[in-house]
Amino acid sequence: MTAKQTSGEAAPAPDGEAITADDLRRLVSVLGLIAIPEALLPRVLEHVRAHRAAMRAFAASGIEVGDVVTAQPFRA
Amino acid sequence: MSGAELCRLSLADLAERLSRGEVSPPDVVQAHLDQIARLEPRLNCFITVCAEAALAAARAAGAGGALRGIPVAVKDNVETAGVRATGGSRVLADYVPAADAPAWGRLRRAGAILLGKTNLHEFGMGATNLNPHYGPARNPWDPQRVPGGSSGGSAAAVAAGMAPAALGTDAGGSVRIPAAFCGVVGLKPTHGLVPVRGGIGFGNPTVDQIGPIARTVGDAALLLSLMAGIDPDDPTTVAAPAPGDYVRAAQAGSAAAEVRGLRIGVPGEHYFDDCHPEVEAAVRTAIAHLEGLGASVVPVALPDHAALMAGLSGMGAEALVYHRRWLRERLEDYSPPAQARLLASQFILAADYATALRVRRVLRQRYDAALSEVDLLAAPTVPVPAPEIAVAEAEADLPNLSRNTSPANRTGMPAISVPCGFAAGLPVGLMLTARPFEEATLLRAAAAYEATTAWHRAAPALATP
Repeated sequence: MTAKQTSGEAAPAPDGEAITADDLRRLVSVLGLIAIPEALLPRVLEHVRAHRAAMRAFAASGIEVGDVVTAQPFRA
Repeated sequence: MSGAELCRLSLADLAERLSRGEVSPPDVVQAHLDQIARLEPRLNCFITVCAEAALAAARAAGAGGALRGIPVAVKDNVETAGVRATGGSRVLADYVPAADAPAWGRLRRAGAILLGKTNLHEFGMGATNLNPHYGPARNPWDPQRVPGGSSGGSAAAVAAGMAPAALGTDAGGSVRIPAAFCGVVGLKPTHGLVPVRGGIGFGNPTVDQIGPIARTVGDAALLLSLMAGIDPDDPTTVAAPAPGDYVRAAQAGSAAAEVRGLRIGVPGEHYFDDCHPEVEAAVRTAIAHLEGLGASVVPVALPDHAALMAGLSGMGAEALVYHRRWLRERLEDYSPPAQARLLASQFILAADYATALRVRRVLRQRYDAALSEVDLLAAPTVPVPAPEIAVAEAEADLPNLSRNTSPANRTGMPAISVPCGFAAGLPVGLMLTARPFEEATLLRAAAAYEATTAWHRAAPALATP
């Protein structure tokens, strides 16, 4: 499940790998998210990077879930 | 019988002595209130103790009901009519629900008396029970250590004889982790078996469950049998396809003291990784004991487990939706770790969440495949013994305590933790996991194990005056 790259386009930044506190500030501002106190930004950034790392790890596994039909977890 | 002796009895023993008139409901309630008065300064298990109301209810206890006159503690994120329910938070410090959560209401109607509301990790969002608003609950086996969480107050209270049984909630292991760390029994039911309506901070309605914490498998079975069943106002509840007689299953396992014909799978992936050597030894000895009772034990494969667990990361978005109403205006009422976790979930993409829902289905299929070959999975509930509070406060050095418990929440499967030994002088839990709605199988096996071992009878030294 690796992203395909089109010839001639700039290579996309690794998914969230290099996300910074400035990136989070910009997203909060542009998307109108709940403001993050400056003192908290490093911890928030840690969580965000961990989440992106998890998503990268899943993508790297090659498991394809696009066709999976979901249901309540207890149903077959 | 002394008060201290009353505080070590199981629900079943208490019910029998009450029915024979050997003790009265006020005797039983007073004994536990005395134990709370003695140990609460050291263990901090309760956010609210309902002393006067509990004694009044005991004096008024009528005839009948499986739990008539028996005090039960309830985690403080379960709504209790007329008694504040804080969720372990400052946000809801003064919240007094008008009605009982159905799970607790069913126990109350069976005669249970609310002894108090137990301490928990803030909004249930953590596995240590370090609570900045109400102080940490402490492990009765070593008060310098965490009791586990988030239902730490419930498990510590039961282990210390401050309550004969308690309710906990479990979104990632919050019943089973503290049960393992405190040396008691904790059961997470199949998602949909017990109503979750009236659960506070249940930001993850697809994984949260309310479950019993008790000193015996039979007691857990009794509480489950009373709580299970459809709630027309709770869309998560479903009719169990094979409703079990949980009490009878536990009794049968205990009486037979064998598990002939049962197939137990031991996962080759994930569950034993980086396990504390004494934890692993205790759990493998327990599995060998079950084999000695007649089970066939085989290895099972759970392909792609680590990748699938990683793919569930987007589930964190569910909690944000619950808390968003307060985060903008009352952010300072959350602890910094809770603030950071919730605010970070703003950056989970919708596609990550949609992916997580699909990944969960695949993970469930993997477990279905494993459980088509065996009846139960066996593993350590937590791969390490209870950490010191100081280590837990440092966070960075803390291992992932919910690593082994969270798959059952993600897949909806039932799982139970039973005491199976000690590591570094601290209790170890054996976790058994079954197919959905096969709690009876879990309870039968757990009861047979319990009947042929003595771990569940061990009590922390401070529990006895």
